Amino acid sequence: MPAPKLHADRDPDFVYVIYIAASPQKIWDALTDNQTERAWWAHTRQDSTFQAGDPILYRRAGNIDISGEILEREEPNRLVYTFQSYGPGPQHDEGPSIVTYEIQANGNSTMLKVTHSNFPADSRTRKSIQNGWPAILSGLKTVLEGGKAPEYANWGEGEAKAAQARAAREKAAQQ
Amino acid sequence: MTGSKFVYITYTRTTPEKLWAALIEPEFTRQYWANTHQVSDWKPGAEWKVMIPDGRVGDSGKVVEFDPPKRLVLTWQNQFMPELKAEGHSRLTYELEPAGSAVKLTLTHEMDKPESKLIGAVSNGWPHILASLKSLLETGESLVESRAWPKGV
Repeated sequence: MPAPKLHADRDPDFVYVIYIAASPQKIWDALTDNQTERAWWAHTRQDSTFQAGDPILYRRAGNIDISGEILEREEPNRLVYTFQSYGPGPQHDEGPSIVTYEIQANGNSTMLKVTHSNFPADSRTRKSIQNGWPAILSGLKTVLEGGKAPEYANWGEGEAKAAQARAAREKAAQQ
Repeated sequence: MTGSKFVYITYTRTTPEKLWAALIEPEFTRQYWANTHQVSDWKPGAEWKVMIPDGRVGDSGKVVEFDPPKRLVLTWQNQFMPELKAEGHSRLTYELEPAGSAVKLTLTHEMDKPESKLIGAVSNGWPHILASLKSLLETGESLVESRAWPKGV
């Protein structure tokens, strides 16, 4: 699977590093979980085999949020995939960006580095993800270190809509 | 003017008061910040310094703003690496705000100087220190490798 064409005029890459008291394999397993609705990732479920060339979809509250394709897989150290808001909309129109996970043992803990790249200039997607990744990866660390995922008041507009949809479904189920 | 800036956001399951105490109190910082502790009267204008376990001063500056448990601003000059010390004072801001069942901490470390070596160095250090702080507050144990001052530094 070839990487997407890079924007000529790009916003800076987003880079986030976090250290987690868990093995590289545990972190890999959480990032490639395709079975559960992950509370630490804004209650999304991933659909993917995580094999290079295969698609990846993020589903939230029954809707597709993000779609992409797996570009590289090197368990448990490296995963690269494309990331595009599911259309239509201005974020979708920015085209696919690229997410890279690097997972490296570091003494008694493990370093996880997320690099999100290939944003056009003045990207709306970048503005959204720069708030999302710290919340998501903080929650991942909490869960892998034995805690309960935080529920944030500010998952963002997408999460607010999804939460409304979840509440409506629960209400309908009760009636 | 183009400066250098490092911004890091982390969310911790705790209260703003506990996170605030953990950022400044020696009994906390020794556990997650390479066995260092800070010395200050913690009021605007007061001197502030980070003490290395062997007695050297690691970094020093002044308290600019002190508004517990929401906002702490310090000036910051490295003292133990000549190349970094030569760059002069940087500015560190901690902002704490409740976010659902967690507390959002935004750390901004900046300097009015392009391609600052100090900002480059702390960009590598802060994620590790703050990850260890988060572990300490959530699990009672900091990250093992962050507890001691590194040998030979």
